[in-house]
Amino acid sequence: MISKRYTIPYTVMMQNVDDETLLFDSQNGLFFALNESGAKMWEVMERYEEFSAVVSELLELFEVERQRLENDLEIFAQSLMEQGLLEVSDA
Amino acid sequence: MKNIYPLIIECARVEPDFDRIVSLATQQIDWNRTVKFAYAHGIFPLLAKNLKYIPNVPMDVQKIVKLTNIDIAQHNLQATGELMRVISLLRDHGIDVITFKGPVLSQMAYGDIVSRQYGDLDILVERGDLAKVGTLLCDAGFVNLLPLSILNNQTCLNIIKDFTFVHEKSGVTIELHWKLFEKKYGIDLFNQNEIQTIRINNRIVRTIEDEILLVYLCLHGSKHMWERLEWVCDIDRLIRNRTYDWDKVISYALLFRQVDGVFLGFALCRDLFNTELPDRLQSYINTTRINRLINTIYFAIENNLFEQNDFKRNKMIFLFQVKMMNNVWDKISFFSNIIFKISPEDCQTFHISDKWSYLYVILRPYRLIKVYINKKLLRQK
Repeated sequence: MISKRYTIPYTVMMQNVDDETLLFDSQNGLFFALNESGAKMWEVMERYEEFSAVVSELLELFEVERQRLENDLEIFAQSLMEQGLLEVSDA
Repeated sequence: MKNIYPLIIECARVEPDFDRIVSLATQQIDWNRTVKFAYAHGIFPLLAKNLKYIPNVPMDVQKIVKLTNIDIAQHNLQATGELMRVISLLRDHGIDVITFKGPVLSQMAYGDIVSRQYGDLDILVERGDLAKVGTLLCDAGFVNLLPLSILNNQTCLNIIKDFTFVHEKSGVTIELHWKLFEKKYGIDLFNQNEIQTIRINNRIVRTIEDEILLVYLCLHGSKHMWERLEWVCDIDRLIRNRTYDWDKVISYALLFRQVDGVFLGFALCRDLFNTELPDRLQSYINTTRINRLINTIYFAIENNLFEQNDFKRNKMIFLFQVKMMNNVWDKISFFSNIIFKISPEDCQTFHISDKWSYLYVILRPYRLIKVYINKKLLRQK
């Protein structure tokens, strides 16, 4: 079982506009747009920091196998981390 | 007012009637004008929120609305980010900041920071911290529009209420306040018991108490003749979403001697958005004076009088302010304030201690004559 904790830096803000979800990093002034799945993942990550809790909550939202969801979440978190939009630490 | 741009009013409601919006959008609508009107009145995001569900809106209009709305959202996010940066910077230097209007008002009234249009960011700090705040903001890339020395000049600080900074890169404007009203009225805005906190995204910010904010917003709207529908909409949403001690609201209106200025805001809300108001406000709202003021505002909007040139527009707003005065004494006080009001330029030209500040009234004409002569000479050259 992967044991990780997600933290959103305080400089990052999220807002829903029309059908889009915008992320803004006030540290570098960059904007990012999330697709529907990404937006749902982000919202859950905001509420639950623990990887296992995020996965459990997302399994309620998406009809997908746990393994596939964990992989997708890891890839998503990794890309957010690379852009400085998420901090990942050991739980 | 209800006969023009009913579509925009409908979109600005908390629970818009979609059938009515569809029916209105089917009629002959000048979309270009509607979009411009919504933007000028600060309720573009509310129009955008509703218009996307309406099938008979032309594609090119839908596209412009969507793009403009995203543009507003990006500006709001950027401005909020800047506000958070400034709050952190000042907090790191031991200065507690209170913020109001802008993103905080948007969050309080609409539940997010993108449903409202805002430009400036308003922060309030203790008077003793002003000079330090000025230096810190300049070090952080902000440019002051007036000389920073004003923040050390006690006479200047008595006569003005805010000081503007613009960020040289982002263009974000910060209005630094040390008071909200001309007089102190015995109200301590920095009293810890009255300050409340609001969560914006994952950050907590401090803001003024609900009742003071509501009265301040009403007075601000009345001062500017409610030329933006956004201001009425803000008050409608605040009344619906927040809890108010109405006796306190009434007591502030009476204390500031601006009963009509405050209750005009509530009357507009009720008239345009059917805002439910407590019974004890009715006697202040259902007056001939308030009705007359409302009609003056509607007449100005219906006839596009806010779009006149600056001189005519300012004259109209000035006359409206006079109309709002309850009695002769208030009018005399209003005019004498205008005639004898000391300007920051006076304080910068003549360095007089606060104790002798009344001398500015005598010295002011000399400065104005000097300015006039200099202008004449310049023109001759």
